[in-house]
Amino acid sequence: MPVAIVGIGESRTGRLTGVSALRLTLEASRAAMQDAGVSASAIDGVLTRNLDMDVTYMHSQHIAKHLGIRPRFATDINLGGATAIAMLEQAALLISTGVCNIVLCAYGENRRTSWAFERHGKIRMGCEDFEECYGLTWGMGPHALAARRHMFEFGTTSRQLGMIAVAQRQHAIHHPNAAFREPLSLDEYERSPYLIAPLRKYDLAYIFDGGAAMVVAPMAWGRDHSAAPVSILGLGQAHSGEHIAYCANMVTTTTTPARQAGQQVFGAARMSRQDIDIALLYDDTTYGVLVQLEDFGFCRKGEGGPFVEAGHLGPDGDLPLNPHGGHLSQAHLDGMLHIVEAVRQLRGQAGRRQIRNASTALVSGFGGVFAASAAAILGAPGLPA
Amino acid sequence: MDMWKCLKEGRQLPIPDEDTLVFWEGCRRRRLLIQQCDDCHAFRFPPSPLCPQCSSSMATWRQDSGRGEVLTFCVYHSELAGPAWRSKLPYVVTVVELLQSRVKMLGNLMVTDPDLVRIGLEVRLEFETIDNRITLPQFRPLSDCEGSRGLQSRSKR
Repeated sequence: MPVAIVGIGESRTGRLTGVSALRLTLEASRAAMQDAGVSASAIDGVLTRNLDMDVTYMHSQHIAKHLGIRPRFATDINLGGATAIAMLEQAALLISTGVCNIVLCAYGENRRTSWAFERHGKIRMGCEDFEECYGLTWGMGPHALAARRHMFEFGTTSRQLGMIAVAQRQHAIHHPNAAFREPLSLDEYERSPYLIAPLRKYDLAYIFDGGAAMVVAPMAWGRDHSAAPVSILGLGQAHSGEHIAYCANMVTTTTTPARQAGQQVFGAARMSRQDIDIALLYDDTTYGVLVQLEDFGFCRKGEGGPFVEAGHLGPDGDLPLNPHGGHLSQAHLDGMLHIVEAVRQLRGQAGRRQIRNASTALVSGFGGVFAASAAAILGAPGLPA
Repeated sequence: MDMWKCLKEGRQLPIPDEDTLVFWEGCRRRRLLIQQCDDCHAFRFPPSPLCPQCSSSMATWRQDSGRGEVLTFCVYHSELAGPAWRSKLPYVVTVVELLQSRVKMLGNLMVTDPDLVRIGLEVRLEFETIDNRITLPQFRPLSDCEGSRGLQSRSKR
């Protein structure tokens, strides 16, 4: 059964001291429900991601209760940065098997500010006992290790990584809800300090507070009830087989499970790389983008650097990348905003940053450090599913 | 994804549990103990109740010499890991492949000049005593002229 995204919502993002993760989740959910034109009583599925900083018992039911939803099915999904796409796939499965009709996927975090306050408890990552004692910070640190290995193997340069940061900033300049909207030049990138060499300041995404949500429904429902249902044309998910929280093996190979997830998603959508108009690739760091360009097959392994250098990714390129600015320039909300932006672009509602004639989008997520990859191909309203 | 972990005042230390106690007790006694599966003989790290290769629960702890080679590394120039790391900047985090058991381990690479570190550098184990409960395995370049003898050859892939 063809399935569509029929509503999206995005809360305020940024440094939101004193705003709870619950409030951000509810604000985004309300916006998504209004966008879809559905009331709480019409929603029968609720998917959430539990809070990293304050793990909550039966979190999805907690959120449902606050929204007045009595779901047929509710659960928490945590696949790290692959959660957003995993939610989408879970929603599609629930709908296509007839378990649910309309599913709300909701997310909210206030990690940027909440670490400073006392909380009930934080999530266990799994293998931090073998990482944190060495001053390795989760996420970005392992990306620096991986980038160094890629540079060693293929001669990839810091400047090439910088071109990714610059391309995404060119998009973000026109996003009213982006954290970083001032222009960024390659010179400025190269003058910026190394924070975790070989990664510089502008190679890293910073956590911000914020929420995002989407409403998923059968395409037939979307056509009847919604002006612009965005179809889910294909989904993919693959795991490296490494423990999700332990990075050592994954960072020394330059290939990630995005290769398998890419084969799945392009196969499911019966599309080739040339059919993709815009790419919304998960971006903890610029390096994470580069390695996905290779593993999703936009260029060959090792050629990510030259591919970036050829200028495909900016607003005028043939593969505009993260038109919302991505984690690097808008806000790091675990890839939720990548889906929200894809839907806006495909509906033609992205304002001054609208990419002309965008009718297909590849959206991806990475969970752990290259441990899980999830991908979706979305199609503009009216595109045959 | 920094900004939300490791931000406590002190250095984040391991919390030994049922699955890792033998490893940390070994470190305390200055022995690097790596699990080897009794059935398929695969080495594994970090410690785990079952062999990821064959699911066997039978394993033996083997002492590893701690000689290895740098597979990759990064250099922290900022105190993203929290205030406890301020005085150590810049510091090197490395992934080392142990030559004996072929497992990969994280550690700090103890060098005075991070600019001299290269992929392929040969390293040896050195234990760092933190307190009477925790001793961490760390690495130091094998040669005295640290960093200057990094192997230039690419590793086998």
